[in-house]
Amino acid sequence: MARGAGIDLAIAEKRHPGMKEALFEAFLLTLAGGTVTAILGPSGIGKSSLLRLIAGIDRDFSGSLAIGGEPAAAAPPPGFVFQDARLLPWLDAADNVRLADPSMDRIGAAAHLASLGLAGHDADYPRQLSGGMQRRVALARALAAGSGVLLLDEPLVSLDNALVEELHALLARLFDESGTTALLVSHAAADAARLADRVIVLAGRPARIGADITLPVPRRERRADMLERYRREIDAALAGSA
Amino acid sequence: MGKTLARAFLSFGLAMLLGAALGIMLGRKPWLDRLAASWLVVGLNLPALVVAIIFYIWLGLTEAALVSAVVVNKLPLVITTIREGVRSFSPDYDELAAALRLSSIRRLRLIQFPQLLPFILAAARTGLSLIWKIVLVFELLGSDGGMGYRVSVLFQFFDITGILAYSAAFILVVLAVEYGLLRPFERRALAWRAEPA
Repeated sequence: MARGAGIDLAIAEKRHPGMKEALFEAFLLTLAGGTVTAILGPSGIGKSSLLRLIAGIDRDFSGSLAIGGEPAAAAPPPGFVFQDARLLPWLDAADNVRLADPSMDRIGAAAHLASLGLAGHDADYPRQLSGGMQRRVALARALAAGSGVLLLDEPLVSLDNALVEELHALLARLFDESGTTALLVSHAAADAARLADRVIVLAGRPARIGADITLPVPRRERRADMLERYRREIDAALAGSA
Repeated sequence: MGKTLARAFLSFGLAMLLGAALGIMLGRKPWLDRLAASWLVVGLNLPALVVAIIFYIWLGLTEAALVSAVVVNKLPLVITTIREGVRSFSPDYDELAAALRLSSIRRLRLIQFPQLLPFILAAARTGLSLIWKIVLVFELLGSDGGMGYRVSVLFQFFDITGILAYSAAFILVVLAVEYGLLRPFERRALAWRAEPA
């Protein structure tokens, strides 16, 4: 896969209907292509709203959004991984993947699923798959969009530790191998320490960037003590900007 | 018997098509729903016979009068069921469709139709049973043939054997439709709900 496109977001104002204060005002965010950025902050600060703006799910804001230098409407749609797997229960795994890319045939979809460790599960319906497998299918679907940009909305929330560890490893490998541009919304500093190149902490209302931390050590070289140090640094930033 | 079946299926098809279209519109547009809500209540509770007699008077004792009377009787039921179905659509799937930039045709086929299907099936089942019953009554009331007409003739001769024979034939047809058409279709369409084998 080609190196992911960069993202330039400039929000003049974003306000939910009926809200007194704007969610974002004069908010600028630039993500370099091929990097993984984690967004953290207290709940309700607008992390998911931000992600939905970039995904084009919510287009009701004033400002501009460019993906790979092109206006978002013309750029290929970013892959989106929801908090729940959000598979269509009436489609099997392969058809769920093909939802993102109609030109992909079932064999291609099965191969794509196999590359994420789901070989032989292409004809299974979502309810026949375990929670972890459903998340993998959702990830496969987001990748099948093929834009090289991946938006993840708390993809690891409400999973048990073993599963989180498994998906951490899968995502880290994916980010390293594919050069995807990824934006990861999370509330867990550990996720960010493990996966991100850059951590942005949102604070206040209208939301501003409370802290912008770069994690320079490549993902695969981060040992346990380093992860712990990163985690503490991020937690301190979270506490400091709250 | 053939005449009755043809009438029943024709009015069933018309009522399902019209009802689905109107139900989807009402589910989508709240102002339209408010406009039509009281009419729906009236439609749901209007005695079937009144409708039939009015249509017979307006349109004469014709095939068209019979079929439209049946359709009008059945329509509100389909509309309300489908409307509930549209209202139950999950906004989560709309988000997904937006994120994937699905075209409106694929959105309809892959996201909206599957969500609506259980409601369509429910409407079909309750609708079919209602139609069987009223088609016969309407035929008895004014028609030149069909089961209802036959039964009324047999009634005048107190021919219990004949009436029971017709009933038996009718029961066979109803069971054949249920187990030969509705059930297999339901099984196939809702296979995704089945417990893992």
